[in-house]
Amino acid sequence: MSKRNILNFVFVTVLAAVFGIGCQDKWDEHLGSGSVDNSTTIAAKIAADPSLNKFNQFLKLTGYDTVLAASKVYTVWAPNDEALKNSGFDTDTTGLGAFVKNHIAVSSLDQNIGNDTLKIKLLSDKYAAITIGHFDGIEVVGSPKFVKNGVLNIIGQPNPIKQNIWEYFMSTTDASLQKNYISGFTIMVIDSANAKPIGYTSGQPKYASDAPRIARNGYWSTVADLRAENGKYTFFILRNAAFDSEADKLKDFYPNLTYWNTVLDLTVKGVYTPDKLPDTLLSIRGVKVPVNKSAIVRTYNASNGIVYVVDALPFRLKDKIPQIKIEGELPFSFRSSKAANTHYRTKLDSLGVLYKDIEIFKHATAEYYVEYRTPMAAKGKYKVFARAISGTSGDLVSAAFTQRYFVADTAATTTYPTAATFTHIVNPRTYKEIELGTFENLTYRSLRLRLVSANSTAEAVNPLILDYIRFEPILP
Amino acid sequence: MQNFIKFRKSLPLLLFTVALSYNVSGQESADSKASSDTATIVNTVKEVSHKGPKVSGVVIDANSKKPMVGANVGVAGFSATITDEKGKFTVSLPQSKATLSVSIEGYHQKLVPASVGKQVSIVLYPLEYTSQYTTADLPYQSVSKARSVAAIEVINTKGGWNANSETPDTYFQGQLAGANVIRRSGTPGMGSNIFVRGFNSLYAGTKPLYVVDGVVYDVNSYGSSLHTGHVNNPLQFIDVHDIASVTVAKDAASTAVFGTRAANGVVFINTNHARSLETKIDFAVFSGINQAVKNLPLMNAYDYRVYLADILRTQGLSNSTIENQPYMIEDSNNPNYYTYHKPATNWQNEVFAPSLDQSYSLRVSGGDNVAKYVLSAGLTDDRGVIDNTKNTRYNTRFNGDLNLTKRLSGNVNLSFSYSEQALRDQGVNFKSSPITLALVKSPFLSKYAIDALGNVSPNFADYDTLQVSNPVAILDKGINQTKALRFFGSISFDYKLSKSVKISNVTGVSYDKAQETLFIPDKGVVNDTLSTTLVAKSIHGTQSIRYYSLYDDLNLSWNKVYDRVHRLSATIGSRVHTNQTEQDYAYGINSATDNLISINNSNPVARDLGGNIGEWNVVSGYFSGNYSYADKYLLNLSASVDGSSRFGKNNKYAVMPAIGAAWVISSEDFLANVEKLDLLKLRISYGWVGNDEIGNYTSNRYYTSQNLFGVQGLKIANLGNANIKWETVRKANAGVDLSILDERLNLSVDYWNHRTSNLLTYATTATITPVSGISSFIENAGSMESQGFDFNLNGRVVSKKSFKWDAGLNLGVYKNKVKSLPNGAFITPVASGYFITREGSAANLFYGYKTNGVYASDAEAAASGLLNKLADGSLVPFRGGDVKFVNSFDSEQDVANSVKIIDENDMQVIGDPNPDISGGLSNTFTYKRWSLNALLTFSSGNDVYNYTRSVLESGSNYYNQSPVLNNRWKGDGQSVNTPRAEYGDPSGNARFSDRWIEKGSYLRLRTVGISYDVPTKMGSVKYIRLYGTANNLLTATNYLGYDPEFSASSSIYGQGVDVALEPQFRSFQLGIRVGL
Repeated sequence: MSKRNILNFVFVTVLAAVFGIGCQDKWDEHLGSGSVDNSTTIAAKIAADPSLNKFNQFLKLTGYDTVLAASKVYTVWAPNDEALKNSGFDTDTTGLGAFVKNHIAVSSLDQNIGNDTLKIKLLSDKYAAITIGHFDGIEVVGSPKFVKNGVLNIIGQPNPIKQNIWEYFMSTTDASLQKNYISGFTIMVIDSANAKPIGYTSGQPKYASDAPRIARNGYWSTVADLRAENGKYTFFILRNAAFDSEADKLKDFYPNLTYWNTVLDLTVKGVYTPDKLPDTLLSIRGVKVPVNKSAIVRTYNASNGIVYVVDALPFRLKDKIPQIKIEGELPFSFRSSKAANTHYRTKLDSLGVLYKDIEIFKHATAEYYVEYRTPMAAKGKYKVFARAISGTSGDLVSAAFTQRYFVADTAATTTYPTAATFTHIVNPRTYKEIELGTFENLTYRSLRLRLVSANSTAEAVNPLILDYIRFEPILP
Repeated sequence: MQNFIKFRKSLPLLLFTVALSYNVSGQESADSKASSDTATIVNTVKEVSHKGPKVSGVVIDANSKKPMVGANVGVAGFSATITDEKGKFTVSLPQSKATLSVSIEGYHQKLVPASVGKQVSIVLYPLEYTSQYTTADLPYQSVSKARSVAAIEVINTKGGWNANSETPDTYFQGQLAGANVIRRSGTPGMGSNIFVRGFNSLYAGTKPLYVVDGVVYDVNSYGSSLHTGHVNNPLQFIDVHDIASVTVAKDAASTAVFGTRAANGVVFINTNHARSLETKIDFAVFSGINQAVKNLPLMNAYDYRVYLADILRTQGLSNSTIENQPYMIEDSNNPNYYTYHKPATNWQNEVFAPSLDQSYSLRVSGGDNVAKYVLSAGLTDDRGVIDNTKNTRYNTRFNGDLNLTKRLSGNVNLSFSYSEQALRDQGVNFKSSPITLALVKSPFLSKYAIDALGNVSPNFADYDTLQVSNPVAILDKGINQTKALRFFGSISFDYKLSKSVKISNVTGVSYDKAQETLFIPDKGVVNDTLSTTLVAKSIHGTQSIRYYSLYDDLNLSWNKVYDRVHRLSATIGSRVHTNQTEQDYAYGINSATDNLISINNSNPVARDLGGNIGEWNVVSGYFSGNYSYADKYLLNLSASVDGSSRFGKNNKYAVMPAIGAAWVISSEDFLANVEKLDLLKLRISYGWVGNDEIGNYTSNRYYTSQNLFGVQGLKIANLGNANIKWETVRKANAGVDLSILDERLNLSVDYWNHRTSNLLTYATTATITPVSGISSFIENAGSMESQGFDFNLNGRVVSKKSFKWDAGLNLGVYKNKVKSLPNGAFITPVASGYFITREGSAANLFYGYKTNGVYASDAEAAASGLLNKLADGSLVPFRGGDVKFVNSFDSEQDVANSVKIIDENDMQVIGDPNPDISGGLSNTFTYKRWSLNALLTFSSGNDVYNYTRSVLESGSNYYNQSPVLNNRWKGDGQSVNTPRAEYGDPSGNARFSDRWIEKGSYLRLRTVGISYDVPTKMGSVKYIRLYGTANNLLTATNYLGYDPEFSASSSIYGQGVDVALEPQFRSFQLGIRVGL
């Protein structure tokens, strides 16, 4: 080649390089390919899978095919055709929407959970427990398919909608007494979230009489909201005979609210499946629940827990009728404000155990008192004990003194009709509790109690000190 | 030294007075027969004939291939003649062999060995041709490249009409062998960072010295700009059209006279002077369009929303919380629905917009026997591709030549330029850089505010719930303005004491001022929290930077031939240069409304005022001597003694000598019969030069103000080092120049070696820190070495009468190696990445982790047995979806504990920003009246840290991401190359690793220019030329950013880091130029 030809050749090569390399899309190479399918949505992936024909059909019927094409992250557990063979939705589509929603979760899941269990909320508002390879106990078939807007898992069984504990309880026919009693607490209230006010009175909204209403049940707020899908409970349903016998045990102690005290301890936090059921559980209130497996008539796996229908749940009376303990440092009110003389103390007793108490000293008031209120106390007799510790290191009160406890007759407010009086001689460094006497509560009620100082203004004799006072029921 | 400078300053004035008075008497005795022909200033020829053997020959025009009439032929200082109408001449030689000098206006002056009795045929090429016979006009001498001892490079600007929107420093790109010219960004007027033969310093300057019309032209920008990513470029004040010639001096022999300022080479720029007495008017208008850049691929709104859901989940938000985010709610009754569900916005399209450029230039030249002048004025209105940005520049220049008497001549060069730049923050700025924001801003948002019913307001949307500013609001309401001006004037006189002795003086003044205004609005921009815990809503800033310098160079030169074969020339002189800079700035925050933009409306409590003052003086004495024997053996000796106020008191003066020699082999007898050999020359040079960019006050201990608990005070800012001095660079150069086939093929190859000693380094010693509170001090303690090749091949590929193709290839290769450092190695962090400087390897290598894909599953990660050391020091096992980092080193402790840990010990060199090879390929095609030139530039083998992509693929925050994140690891068993998305990146998957290092090689069709010379018969119109130019037409690269060419900082530690500056863009211009 001549020199010119060589240069021509070089030039042409360079130009070819410019155009050749310039046209190649470097981004294509950089984007590369992996096992993520970025070109399809979950909806399209399901539609393209021949084993998911039925589920795809359900999605189309319910409009969820468009939802699953949206720009969000979904995790779907799609039952295959085999799993939906006997679903019954082919003939009756009632509840199909909820069924479909019960297989879809919004948002991706943490894939690095290892052996942990993940609780996720499905579109149906129900929760499902996820472990790697399982969806609420159902095994995932094959490996997950990662697509543009989420993950598709295929499962071999359907995940039908389960009732929650409340729904099951309300639908049960096993225990009319318990069911009717609790459902009797249901009232309809105005749904302020959806009702439009028609005016305001002193800033409070007024609603039309036909404003939308929703149900409220006292059990939900005082014991446990058995409808809550994100809670997990074990709930006992007593058949009528058992319910009667439990109520009968309590009627002497809770004459006016026998049934209420019967149903109060039937809910336990957490799910205790039959295989993991111990012989004693603790109710939400903290009362021991004696479980007799042989008494279980029926078990239901609700969406938010487990329900046991039982023939017997023999609570012990001593568990159902608890003692009443009043902490001195938690007063209800004072005769007058003596904040400068009132000390809330945290000290160690002779055994090194931490205790908190109240000490009122140099208040210079004859018969100064501190008032306490108790929770509901069962009817019956109680032994009364109290503990007050004085004279420990750093304590200003070192001499013995006398303080009194006045228990009110009723909850009347204006006067203070005393039903019982106890006298407590507080000797320095007495760490044991002192038995003050017995007290009979004539009905199921809350007690009022006053801690009263000596009728003197002398600081040496009128201090008040109280760690606690307790009422121990005397049971038959 | 101060007294000496005062004395030295008054010296030129004194000498000038003396010379003038001497001149009065000299004028009377002046030769009245002096030629009045000053039309050609280059060669004023009288026919003289000394007795001697004669030689005859013919001179031919290389273009037309016709004989040339009226060419000057002769032996310098001995004989001269003019060719006849057949191009023939006969001239006498001093000896039987001598070098003929052949010249004619508009052509390169050719030097041809001739011997008695042998006919010579001489081909002359026009000045536009890249020739080995180019004349380099240097301050102390004019030398033909064919006789240069030193390694110099001459750029043939050809008037610069084939280039538009260029500053001189960008114009050099691809035209200088061995100079790696990297344009800083696409922003008009930003210029480039030029590394002549690599770099010789770590912390001192890397820029070459610029000498314009014999006066040092300062190209530094003093004080950092208020605008992120911007530098004020003083070189933009020189209009490329005003440049007559550029010479780059690369080795020690050519630069030693500039002593401690010449370590990075010297660029000599000469501006236009009138060549004839005829009055000429040249007027040109150009107009062009700039094309918006090609967008980087980003996630669309659909994918981004899916990605965001993943990020929110890993942030710890529950599914229902995520579902209730306003951008996830699909209910159009939601008051925020329309804000997040209007059609997606392509933010890059909002920020980048095509724009129009304009430029006008007018030049008038002419004069008479006594005075000639060139007056030029230009207006350039260049726009960038970021919307609402521009650079409007006005430049004027007056260059005059005065022939005061036969002995005394002078010239004046006065230039004044003013520019007004509308800029935008660029680079690492996630609050107010429109480019960065356009990349990271969520695509589902709109630029306008939208109400609950979906009505679109004409007001721009505020920053969004994801804490990203609205780039369009910044483009519209933000102000990043710079107004800058420079006056640069010089006046010089030459006085001929005798035929061979001349005294010259040049005095130059620079005055430069840049005034910057900054306003970041409140609306649309994320608030900033200052160190004082104040919340900055709007930000105001103003800054004024001033530079003043006075330069004087006085020298005596002497030029004589002895015994017809010994030519001796020498220059001895002194220079003094005083410089002053001042920077004053004020920052403020929170004006009452966005309509109050100036600093005086800001909250007075939070105002921050400050500044810097710099003053330095340099005084030098220098010498340069040339000796040649028979025009075949050439020797150069030069030296400079520099004193600078910057040097420590223990090292006040630097002595920088150099020696160079050349052998013109082609003039030897044994090659006399080799046909078609025009030139073969060997060059060698060795010498010392220095780098005085060591900071004005490094040698002194000084104090800085500090605010402590609201009390202003002073504290020690540094440990003064009285021993501090210049960095010394020993430069060796060996080269060959070749020209054959009647100059059809020209080649120059140079090997060079630079050894830097006294390298400025920071010493960190644990012993001084507790005592002084200062962790490091500067000392001259390191050394490094660079070496490489420059290669320059030029030629006329096709030489037909009507069609010609000239092509040139130039390239440079360099390798750098650090020889010694006080602590062996150190690491420099830049934009979440790291550079390592270590003995035994190049000074600026990327230092990070090597990776090898992504763990497909927890099981695979566990099988690797590796533990990940997190930022808090804890060790956790890797999980599925984590990046597989390469465990390259286990410490002894780890081995003893039998654990394998990925920690900082595993960092290694992952890239090198220095190119293996860089250069350009130029082509000029001429066909009749048409001319086409095409310049290709390339850089190969350089690695780039794509910081921008590391943000767009970090998968760790709310920023929009590249589509690569669609391939992110989503679940166990997935085999992908992109790790999982996780808020905050707790596993450090996005840490600085080879994931972000890319090949930065590119080949670019940088400039294509076509021109047509319209035939004109109008008497008054001399010419009409039409121009079409395309810039950055095609770029071939595998780089994944906007463009592989950028330079965020002049430091070697900023090279190859892509921080999303305004990219290079494609532009097209049309122009017309009329000559009257």
